[in-house]
This record gives sequence, structure tokens and C-alpha cells, in this order.
Amino acid sequence: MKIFYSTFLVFFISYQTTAQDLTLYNMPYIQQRVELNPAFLPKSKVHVSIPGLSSLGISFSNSGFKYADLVKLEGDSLRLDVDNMLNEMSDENKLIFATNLQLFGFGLKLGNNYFNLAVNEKANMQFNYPKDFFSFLWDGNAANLNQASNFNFKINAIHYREYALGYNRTFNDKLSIGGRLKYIYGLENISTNASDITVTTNEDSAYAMTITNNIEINTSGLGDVDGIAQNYLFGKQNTGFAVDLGFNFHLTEKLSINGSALNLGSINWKSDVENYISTNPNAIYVFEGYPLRDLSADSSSSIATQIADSLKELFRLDSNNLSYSTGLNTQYHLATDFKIVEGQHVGAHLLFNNFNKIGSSALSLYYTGAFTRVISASVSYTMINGSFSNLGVGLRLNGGPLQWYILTDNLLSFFTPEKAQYFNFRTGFNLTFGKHKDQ
Amino acid sequence: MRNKLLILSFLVVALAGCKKDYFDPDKLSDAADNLVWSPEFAIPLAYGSYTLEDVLNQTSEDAQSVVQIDQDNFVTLVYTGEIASLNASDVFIISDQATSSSFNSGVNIPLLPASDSLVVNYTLLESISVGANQIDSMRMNSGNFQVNINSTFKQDVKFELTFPTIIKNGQAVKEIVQLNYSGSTPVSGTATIDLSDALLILNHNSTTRNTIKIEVRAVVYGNGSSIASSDQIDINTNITDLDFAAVYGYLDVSNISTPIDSIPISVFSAAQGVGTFSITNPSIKFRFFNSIGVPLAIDFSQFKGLNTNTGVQNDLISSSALPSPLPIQSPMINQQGQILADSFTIGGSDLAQFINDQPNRLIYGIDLQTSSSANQSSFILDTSKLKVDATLEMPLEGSANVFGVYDTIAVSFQGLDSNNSQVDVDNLVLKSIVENEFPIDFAMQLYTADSLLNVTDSLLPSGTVIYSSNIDAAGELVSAGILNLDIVIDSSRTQSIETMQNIIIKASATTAGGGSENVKIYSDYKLDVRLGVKAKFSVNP
Repeated sequence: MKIFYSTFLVFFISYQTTAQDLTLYNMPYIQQRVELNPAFLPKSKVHVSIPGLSSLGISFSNSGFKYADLVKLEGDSLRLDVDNMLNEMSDENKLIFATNLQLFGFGLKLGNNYFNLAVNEKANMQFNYPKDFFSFLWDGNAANLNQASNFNFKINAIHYREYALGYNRTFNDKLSIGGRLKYIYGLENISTNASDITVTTNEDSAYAMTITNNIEINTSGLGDVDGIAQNYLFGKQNTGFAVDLGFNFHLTEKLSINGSALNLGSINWKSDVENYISTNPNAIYVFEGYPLRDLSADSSSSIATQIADSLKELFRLDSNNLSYSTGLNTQYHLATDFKIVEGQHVGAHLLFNNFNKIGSSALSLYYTGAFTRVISASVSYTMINGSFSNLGVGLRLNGGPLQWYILTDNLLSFFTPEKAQYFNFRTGFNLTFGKHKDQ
Repeated sequence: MRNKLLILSFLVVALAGCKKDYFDPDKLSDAADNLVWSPEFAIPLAYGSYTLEDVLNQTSEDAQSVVQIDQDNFVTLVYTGEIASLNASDVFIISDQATSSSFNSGVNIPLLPASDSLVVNYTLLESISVGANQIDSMRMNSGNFQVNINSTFKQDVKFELTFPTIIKNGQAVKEIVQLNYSGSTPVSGTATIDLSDALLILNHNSTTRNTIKIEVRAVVYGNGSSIASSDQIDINTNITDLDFAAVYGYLDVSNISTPIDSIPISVFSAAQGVGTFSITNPSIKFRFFNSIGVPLAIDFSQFKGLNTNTGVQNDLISSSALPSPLPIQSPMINQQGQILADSFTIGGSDLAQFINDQPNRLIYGIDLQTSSSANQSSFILDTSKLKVDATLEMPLEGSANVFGVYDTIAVSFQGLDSNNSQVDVDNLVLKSIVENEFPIDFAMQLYTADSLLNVTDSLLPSGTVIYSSNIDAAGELVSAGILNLDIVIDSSRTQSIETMQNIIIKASATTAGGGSENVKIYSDYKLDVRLGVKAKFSVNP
């Protein structure tokens, strides 16, 4: 039971993954920043990411509700307030998990040119859950008569590895333009193209229930593995390409504007593909109860079997093995930066995220300060998807060439996890050599 | 500074303690155990759509449909029963029978030498007993005609029997019976004639019928003994196992009766005789299918409607519309083998009271009689039959005013477990939606009852009516009448439902205009019934 509740807790201390790495975007000493805008230049001439340790990022988010919405502390005991949890939910809610591990990275500045490469392992999972379903279970359907209850659960998940080769160039000390070309190797994917399930209880038909259904899900890599690691790590046929584009323009000596478009590309999934499609898309099943003329003491089990068979037919899925394509987690950044004095900056940063045709956005206000060559920090305040209590902090320490950093976009989630809907952090070690000429 | 550090430390510890409580698995487990779930669900229970035919099939003892539908979907209820089915063997019977005749020599001969003989001729006319029938002839399938002769002559006697009235293969049957004297008398002998495929001509001299003629030539062979005038010959005949193929003559089939039987009228099976019920054009049609070549007529020993629920009877025998006797067409001689169909109908106002008495049984019994004088020649073949059926037709155009029905359904309901301490039913509402396309108001009440039919509760509000549909002047449906009823099931009603063994249905029907207007019933009218339940309950740990 304790393990259950521990696991239960994880899904309630969460962070909207679309707010991922807002703080990183504003920390110039950390070279992983280039992944967010390929036009950015790191402060060091050379950097090497320590394999497996240079960047580990994790984020959780639950847009529906906070832990404290459900669990109330009253004295020294707890009370579950399901009604309050449901009140806090939106009609459509998202549970999101993302992780990012840099396997290797390297960057080199030569004059006005900056070359970089990186290998990153990434995984994203987004689970959409409707409020109607939980209201149906908890409150029943009597308060929702004649209205369609949405039971549209969706899951989209992707695990891939990207091999990125980047280049940017500075023009006139004012403009930098950069790009990264990425080869994508896909490992697993779940892509929900359609998940339309509705249940309507009709009061005028003595509560007859109408159920509609249309499901279309593609998967890759979920089947049995052959146990050979090389086949899994390098042998799949799921490939694609993506590009990152960015710019950084100094309007004045103090004011600059920058922006980027990331993950413009797709993966074609071919290995171990299973497509699941409703046999009868948009079929309708109406449950009106037991037929009176067939009702007897002996008939109830056979009628129940008929009903079960009808539901099975409604939800029956056909299976194919057709390759398909999915996009990546496309991001668009736009920011403005004002240099107060050397090493001290403030700014505003707008992020728009699009994962599998589902979009979200965030606005962040930040302060970044480099106090010495050894330490720099950033503080941000982010408004995201109706949440206005996200305080981000970042810290970078350099001990000689060894650099350590830790970032979070929601510091408060560490201290009041019960009130947090967003949680993320990124940390890692890099080796940095030489100074950038403008330091 | 030190105090500030102490305060800060206290806050950190306190905060850490609160966080630990928030996520304490044991406390979370307790919270889950104390959680009370109180949903309210609305679910459909049952549904059904019933046409008139569906209702009648459920109430009729005979599973066959009695609904006839014309091209306009107008409904007529038709109840048919076979009230008589008679074969030839039922109407014409010849029983086994025997005759006896004797004749003497009439001469005294002191001594008849062996070289001499005496011939005695004698003609017998043996009558067959066939009741009032006057048979001219019969073609036989089978039968036996046995002649036993006893002689007291002290000589050998040869009897030459000729049967001019028994024809086989186009010739009169002849038999010889030899009696040999061996010192004692009487001397006996037998001749047996197989009547298979024989023609019996029983008409003697065109005036005497039912007669078999036997010509006897007895030859007495002398042996030196005497012959007295009193020497006697006895001739006994036995007719057995007669199976005729055809019989002709002046035939009489009177005094034949069928057993009392009945036709169920399902539409009134549950009628309580309450209120009024009228049909604009009911009829009872008798159909006769007759191949018996005897003029016939039917007398009804019984012909009445009976409501077994109320005991009310309506006797139609006394009706002037029903002739007594009721003649039937019969085939003439030249129509042998044909079946003549005939019919007779009574209806209209003659049946008004009959219908209004709401009989669920039409009881009948008939007596058959010959309707003609003895001068009409007639016939009966072995294949001849008489079938009579009666059809009650009720075209469903009429009116009803508080026409009551009553029915009882055995049930057993164990859905609500009021003894379950973890589940409390806070509120239970049974929703009934009835859409009525019939132009008839149905007032109804449902009662729960125990195994002895003692009423324990009523389920519907008093005065519950399923209102009739709206129809236009042509009788076409405009809109259905709708009953949307919520029945609150409180704790006391829950108990009566749990313990009920029967549901008693009492309903009454009234047509438009308070039962004063005639309406038509069409086959596509239906009664849609939907039942659902809305329940609010609490599940306690």
C-alpha cells in the first residue's frame, strides 16, 4: 500500500512540461542553451559534455489539479476531498512526463563560427484525461442528463535519440543566425490520432445510454523484444530528420531580441508497428435496458451476454502493420533581453509548444546575473496555462573547467509539493575551456 | 541573531513535519478508508414496444395470431373454431345383424327311393335393420354374409343358393351347401360370402328396401326313407363387419350430436365485464363444407358467449337472427364426390349485446338432422364429410368506456439489499415513459401482492392515465400520447417490492370522447414502454 501511495504521489507533484527549460534559455554560461536557440553563443570557446552526466532533465506536470486539491490536512489526519479535486479540473486535462539525457556533446568556436554536436536521448509522454469520466464515476450521471460526457482518453508518447550537428555564425557583432540538423532514431512511440468516446444519458428515453466510439492509435516498438541490445539501440527502421533554427539580434548595445523554432521535422515509424483502428468507426450503441418481451428468470444471463457482445463489437479494433509518421515536440521561442550592466540582464521570454497537434504556451520574466566567472544565477517568474505561481531559479558554478549547473522552473514545488502542478529540474556537468571574446 | 536562527530552525522542522504528514502513506490509507462515495446514477432498466398483436399473443391461450390486417393496416380480430367435423362413418352406421327363416317340405312321401329326388324351391327376403334409412343399394368395401342351414330331412340334401341381390363381378352370387344325412338330425351346413367389392341391391320391387333376396333350391336325394311334411329347413343369416363404399337410397342422418366445445376469445380473456365495449360491425360467420349427399340442417344445442371472469352469458340460440334449424347445401346424385361450400352470417345489431358482455368463450354444440322428405334420393360415400366452422370477426372500429382488464404476473425481485450495512440508498426513483399510439386512454394501477394475492402496496399514483394519441379525421396518427411518470421508491415501498410475489395489473380503456366516439385500430399502432431508475446511494467504508 505504501508503494502504491508513493507512486500515487509522483503523479501529483508535477509540472507542465511545455514550460520545460525556460530558465535554461536565460543562462548564457550553460552550453546546453544552444539546444533551445542554435543562434546562441556559449561563453567558452570549447565545451565537452561529460557523457551521461552533462544534462539530465526531468519534468512532470498535471494540469488538472494539485495534490492539495485532493488531500486535505486536518489536524494530524488527512481527508480526501474528491469533490474539490473535480472542481479544479478542466474539461480536458493533461498529465505529462518528459526526460532528457545528453549522451554526448561538444562545441567549438572558431572566429565568428560556432560548431557543435550532441547526442540526446529524449522521452515524452502526454496523457490526456477528461473530467467527465471521473465525474461520471464519482458523482454518477444523474446530474449530467441529456449532455454528452466526454470519455476521450488520449496517450501520446515518444522515445527517440537525436544526433545533432549545429552551426551558427555571427554577422556584424549584432546578428547571429544558427541552425542544427538532427538525425532522429525512434525507439518507441504511441500516437493517438483519434479517441472519441462519448456517453449520453437521455432523460426522455428513461435514461437510455448512447455510446459512440472512434479510436485510432498507432504504436511502434511495443511488441516483444528479441533480447539483442544492438538491435534495440541501433537496429530499428524508425528514422527521421529535424532542424532547429534560431536568431539573436542586438537592436542596441543593451537591447536584443532572439527567437528560435525547434524540432521542425518528423519520424517515420516502420519497425514493430501496430495500428489499431475501430472496426466500426463512429458506431453508436444505445443501451435501453433489458427487452421486456425476452425478460424471464432464465434470460437475464443471456441478455447480459448479448449486451457484453454488443459492447465488444462497438469497441472492436482492427489491427494493421502500416508505417506512419509523427512530428516532434515543436517549440517556438521569442524573447527580448535588456542588459542592465555587464553581466546583469533582465528580459521576457515567450514559449509556444506543440506536441502532437496539442499546443500550449508560457510567458516568463527573468533576471540573470553573472557575479563572477565562477558563479551565475537566474531567477524567473513564469505564467503558464493558468498557473501564476511559478518561480524558477538556476545556478551555475564553475570550478576551473568543470562546470556544474542546476535549474528548475518551479522552485516552490520543492518546498510545497502538495501545491505544485509543475515540477522540473535539469542538472549536469560540462567541461569548458577558454573564454568567449565578449566576456 | 541566535533567536532568529532558532525561529528559522523551528519553522523548518515544523514545515518538514507538515510535509511528512501530507504524504504519510498510513494517513492516506486511513483517509481512503473513511472516504464516503455518494453518487447518483440513472440507468435504463427495460424497454418494450407492443402492437395489438403482441398484446393478444401474450393473453391468448392459442399462440396463433388472431389479427388480420388489410391493405390499409386496419385490424380485424378473427376467432375461428371448428364446430363440427363428421365423417361418413359418423353419420351412417350398419351394425352386425342376424336373421332366421324356416320352411317345411309340405309333402308326405312314405318312401323316397334312392333313384328318386325331391326338389323344393323357396325364396327368402331378409330385411337389414338400418334405422330410418331406406337403402336401395350399397357398394361394399368389405363385409361378410354367412348362411347357416339346418335340415331335419332324413336324406342328403343339396342346397343351391342364389343371391340375386348380391352381385360380384357382374353376376349374382351362387353358393351350394351339401348336407349329408348320417342317421341323425338336424344336419347343418354353412355358406360364407365375402362381400368385398360386392354390390348389394336392396331394393325389392321398387317399394321394398333394405332387403336381401335369397333363392333356395333344395334337392332331396332319396334313400328309401320317408319325407314328412313337417321335415324342416332352417336358414339363418349373419351380416358382419360391413364397410360400405357408397350407399344410396332415402337416407336419414338425424340424431347425431357433437360434444360441447368452445372457441377462446383472447381480447376479452382478462375482461372484468366493467364498462361498455362496442364494435360497429361484428359478425359470426358459419361455413359449411359438405360432401354428404343427404339434405342436412343444423340445430344448435348450445351457442352462447360466456365471460368466465364474471359468469355473464349471452345466449344466441334465442336470437331471431339464427335460424333453427339452419339448412346446409348438399350435393345431388350427379355431384357425387364434390364438396359444396356454403355459409351463413349473423352480425350487426344482433351481436351488439353479445360483444358488450365481453365474452372470452364462444360455447357451441350442434345436432345434425336430415332436412328433406323421404322422397329425395340421397347418397353417402365412404369419403363423404361434413365440416362446419364458425368465425367471429371483430373489425376494430368501435368504442369502449372504462373497459376493464385485470391480470396477475408472478415475480420475484431481490435487487435491493436493504440489509447491506455498507450501502445506504438515499433516494430511488423509478421512471416510466409510455408512448401510446392507440386512440385509447388507459387508466391503470399496479399492485404488489404476496403469494396469496393479498395486496401490499400500490405502485402508481392514484389516477394514473396513459392518454390516447391524437388522430385526424381519417384515423391517421398525428401524435402519440405520452406518460412520463416518476415513482419515488422510499424505504417502505422498497420493502414491499422486495417481498412481493405477484404484481396485479388493473387497467381500464376508454376511447376518445369519453368512450362515445368510434375509433379505428391499425396494426402499426404501438405502445412503447421504457423503464429506468435513478438511484442515489452512499457507500460507507
